[in-house]
Amino acid sequence: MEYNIRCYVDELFQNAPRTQKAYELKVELTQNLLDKYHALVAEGKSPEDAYSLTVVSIGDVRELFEGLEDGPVQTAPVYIPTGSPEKRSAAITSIAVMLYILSVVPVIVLGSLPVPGMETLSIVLMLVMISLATGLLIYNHAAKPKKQPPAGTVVSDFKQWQTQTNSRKQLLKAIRSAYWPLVLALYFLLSFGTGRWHITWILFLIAPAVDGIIKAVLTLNDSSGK
Amino acid sequence: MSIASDVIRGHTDTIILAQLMQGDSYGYKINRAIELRTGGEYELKEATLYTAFRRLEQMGCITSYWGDESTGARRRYYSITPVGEQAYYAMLSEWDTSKQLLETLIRPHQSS
Repeated sequence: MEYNIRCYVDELFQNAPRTQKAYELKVELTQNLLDKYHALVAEGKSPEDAYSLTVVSIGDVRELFEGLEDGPVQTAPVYIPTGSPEKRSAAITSIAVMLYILSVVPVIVLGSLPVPGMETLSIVLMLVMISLATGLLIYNHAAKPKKQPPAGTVVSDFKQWQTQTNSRKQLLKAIRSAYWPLVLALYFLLSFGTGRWHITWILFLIAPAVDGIIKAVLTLNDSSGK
Repeated sequence: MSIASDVIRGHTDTIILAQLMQGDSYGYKINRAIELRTGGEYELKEATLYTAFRRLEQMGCITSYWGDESTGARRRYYSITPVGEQAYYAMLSEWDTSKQLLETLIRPHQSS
């Protein structure tokens, strides 16, 4: 019967918020119910009667769960309606990619003109476009709104803890998101600059290795920093 | 009986504080004391009891701590704070006032 009481409380708390408070309340309630049950049995009640009397005495638990959220009850975050954030993010990414592709146009167009000194101008233009695109990508990644699960759950507590401890990691992640576009840009730059298309593709073999090294160094720093 | 418990329910906080005025206690013990005092006429539902505990704790009237029983049963004990004692006396005088008011209202022919 003791087991039955524990099961009953387990069931009651299935819909309770997953917080420390809820857990403590559960332990407290279980212990007090068991005390009551044993007292009833000691009075001479049959185990079945004692069990039902104990269970009935709990009453309406809904009011009990209302105060179990951690801290003040949070209202839904207010979004300033600047259009859907996903749409905006997609637009920024598209523009960045477009800039990457278009960045070679000045080199091609200006390079074909028979005017001297155009090479430098075309390279500068290309670099400006690439840096613009990279900046856009980093901004987009860093400004992306993070989805918040409902407050008061273990998941949200964990997420909060995660964002708190990993804010530095988040920034590094944002910067790293620009890594591959930069590699691509470097490839075009080298290829157009040197004209040695037959050898510059090596970059795509070197890039993953460099990426791996960066990742390893970062994780090493992170684990030693903790 | 149902009318009586309706009236009593409005004074759950006072009843709990009155119990804690006699010393630290835990959920079942408090409810048991209430049951014994009323001769089995009245006892609090667990849900009501713990909701009141949380409310009183938030108001700073009581504090709680986990007892360390050697038998393995872990009980959460409550003790009354100075704020709680003040609140208890305030509730008592409030009750006296409302008791007198109620008397004059439900027995007007006697008092006038």
